[in-house]
Amino acid sequence: MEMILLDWTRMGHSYCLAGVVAARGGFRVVRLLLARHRDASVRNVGWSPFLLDGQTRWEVFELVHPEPADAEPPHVEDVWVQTLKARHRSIPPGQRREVLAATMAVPGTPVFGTSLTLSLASAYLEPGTGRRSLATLSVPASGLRFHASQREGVADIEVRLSLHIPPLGDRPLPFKDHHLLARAEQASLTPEGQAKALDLAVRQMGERVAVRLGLARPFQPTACRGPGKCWLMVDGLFSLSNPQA
Amino acid sequence: MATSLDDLTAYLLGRILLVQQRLGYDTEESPEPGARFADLLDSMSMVEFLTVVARDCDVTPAVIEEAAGRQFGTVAQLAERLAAAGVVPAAAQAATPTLASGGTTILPACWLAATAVRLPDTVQPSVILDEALQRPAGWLERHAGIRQRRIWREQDPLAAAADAGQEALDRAGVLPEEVGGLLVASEAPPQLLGLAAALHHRLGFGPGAAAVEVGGACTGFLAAVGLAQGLLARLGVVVVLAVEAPSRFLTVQPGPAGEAAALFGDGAAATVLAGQSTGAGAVPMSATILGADGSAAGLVRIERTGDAAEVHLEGRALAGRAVRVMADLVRDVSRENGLSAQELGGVVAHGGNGRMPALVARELCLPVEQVWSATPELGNLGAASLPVAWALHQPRPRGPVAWAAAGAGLTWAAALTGLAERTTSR
Repeated sequence: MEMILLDWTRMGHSYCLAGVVAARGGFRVVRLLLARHRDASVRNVGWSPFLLDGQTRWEVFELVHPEPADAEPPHVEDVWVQTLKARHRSIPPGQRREVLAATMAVPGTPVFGTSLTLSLASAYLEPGTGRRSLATLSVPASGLRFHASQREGVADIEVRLSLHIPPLGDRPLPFKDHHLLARAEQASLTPEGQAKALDLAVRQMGERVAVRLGLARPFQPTACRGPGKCWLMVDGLFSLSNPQA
Repeated sequence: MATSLDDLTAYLLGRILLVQQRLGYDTEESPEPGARFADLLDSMSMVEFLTVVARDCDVTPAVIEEAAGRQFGTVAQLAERLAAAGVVPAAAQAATPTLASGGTTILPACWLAATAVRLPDTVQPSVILDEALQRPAGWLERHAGIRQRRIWREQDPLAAAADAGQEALDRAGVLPEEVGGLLVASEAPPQLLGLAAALHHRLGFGPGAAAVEVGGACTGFLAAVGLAQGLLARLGVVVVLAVEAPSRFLTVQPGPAGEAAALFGDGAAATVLAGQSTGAGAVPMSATILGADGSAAGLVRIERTGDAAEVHLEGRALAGRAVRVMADLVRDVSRENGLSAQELGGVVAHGGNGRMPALVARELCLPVEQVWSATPELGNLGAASLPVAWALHQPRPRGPVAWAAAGAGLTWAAALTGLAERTTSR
C-alpha cells in the first residue's frame, strides 16, 4: 500500500507522521504507528529522526505490513506498520492540492465530527469522542500570527499560531509543523526571530493557506489528576496555490 | 496605572492558580513568587496563562511575550517586566480592589449567605414511571435523561420547606427576628393561597417581615433573588424559599400530558441573602439579569382538567429555545462581570429535562461536568432547581459560578456568584 506523507509534526524529540492512501477514488487519512511499539503503554511512541533523515512531505512511501489499529476516538486513523519504504518520488503540485481539498473540513459541521470543548484559551476533545483527529481548513494568510517564547529551564522554544477558527473564535494553538519549524530554526535561534521567520514564510504562501489541524493524543501535565485531553494543535501549513514540502 | 509590584505579582499568581485549577492540576495553594514557570505550567497551560493575562491587559499574547522578553523565568520576574513595560491588567478580576484605574467599581448585589435543601423521602425510579406511562423500561431516561425523581407522598412539603429555611438561617448565623422578608417561589405550590405567609409563620418571622409569593415558574428562584436584591437595603436579610409539589397536581399516565408530568419532581430549597457577608459559606452574588418573551407562552401551558391539571409542552422547541437562552445568559452575565464563560468554575443550569445541562455545556463549549444540575436524579424541580443543584454540588471548585434559568412564559434569569468587589474598565 502506498501512502503520500502529509503531516510531519514535532513530538518532543520524535515525530508523528500521517498521510493519505488512495481509497474509493479519493483519499483516506492514516496515522502511522510503528508495529514494534504495539505493546507500549502509549501508542504514539513516535518516529525517530534517524528513520526519516532525508525524507520530505508529499513523498510517496510504501507501508510495510499495514494493519488497521483499534479505533481510539478521535484517533480513528491509526494504522500499524512494520516500517516505511521510500519510493523516492513526490507527488506533483496538482495532486497535492487534490489531497488538501479532499481532507478539507465541511463548512458548517464540527471539524472533528463533534463540538470541541473550549478551555480558557484553546480547545480540546475528551478521549473517546470525535470522528477524526486530522482535518484541513482554508484560511486567509493575513489572519495568521506566530508568536514564540521560552520557559527558563525548557530546551525548546514554544511556537504558537493564532488563528480564527469558526465558531471557536481566535485561538492560539501550538504549532508543530516540523518543516516550517526547521526553516525557522535555521533562520534564527531566538523566539522572536523564529516567529518573524514563520510570519514571513506564511506571507510568501499566497492569499489563502491550508491549515492542517490535529488533535493530540490524550495528555496532561504530570501534576494533573484525571484523564488527559486531546488538545487542538496546528500540524501543518501549506500554500494552497503551490503546496510546499 | 498605579499598580504596585506586589499587586501585580499577586494577580499573576492568581491567574496561574486559575489555569492550574481549570486544567485539573492537583493543587490548592497559590504558587510562590519565586517559582519558575517551567515548574508551574506545561506548554499547553502556558498558552492558557498567556491568553488569560493578555485578555485581562487588553493586549495580545504576543505583547505579553514581548514585554517578558520572550523568556519566562520566575513569576516575580514576569511581574517586574510587565510593570516596566506598562502592561498591567485593565480588569483586576483576580486581584484586589486597589487595582482601581478609573473604571467602574462593581459591588456584589448581595451575599448568598447560606443554602439548605429538603428532598422527599420517596424515590421513584424511572422504571416505575415508564410503567405508569406504558412505555418500555428505559424510555424516560433515554428520552429525557431522568433516572429517578422524588415525591412528597404523605410528607408535608411546607414542613420540609420550613426546615430548609431554618437550616439556612442557622448556617448563615441569622436569627429569625433579623429577617426582613421572605420571598417564596413556586410553580407547583403545595398551598394555593397564603403560601408565603404560612412559611413565614412556621419560620417564626416577626410581623414586620414581608411575606411575598413570586411566580416565574422555573425562573422563579432567580426572579425572587432579583427582587430580594432590590429590597436588601431596606430589609437587611431576605430569605428566598423555593418549594415544589408537582406530584400533587400532575398525573403520570399514558399520553403526552402524563409524559410531561413525569419530568417533574418535588423538592424544596432555601437561601439566605444578605447585604453583607454573614456565615462561613457566604459568597458574593452579582446583580440578576431578568428577561421575558411572552410571544413564546405557547411552548408551556397548564390546562385544568376537572379538579386536576395537565401540563402541555412543545418539548423540542422549548428545550432548544431554553438551551440557547441559558447559554446566552451565561455569556452575558460573564461578560457583564468582566469574564468569559471559560473562566467560570461552574454553571448552575436549570434542567427542564435531564439532557438540557449537557446541551448547555455543548452550546458553551464547556466540559459537561462543569454544568451542574440535579435533574437526572430528581427530575425538573421548577423554581427549586437551581438552589438544589448548587447545594448538592459538593465540593464546589473555587472561582465564579454562573446561574441560569429559563422557564414558562418564556422568562429567563441569570446571576453570578463568587466574584468579590472589583474594578473593571469593561
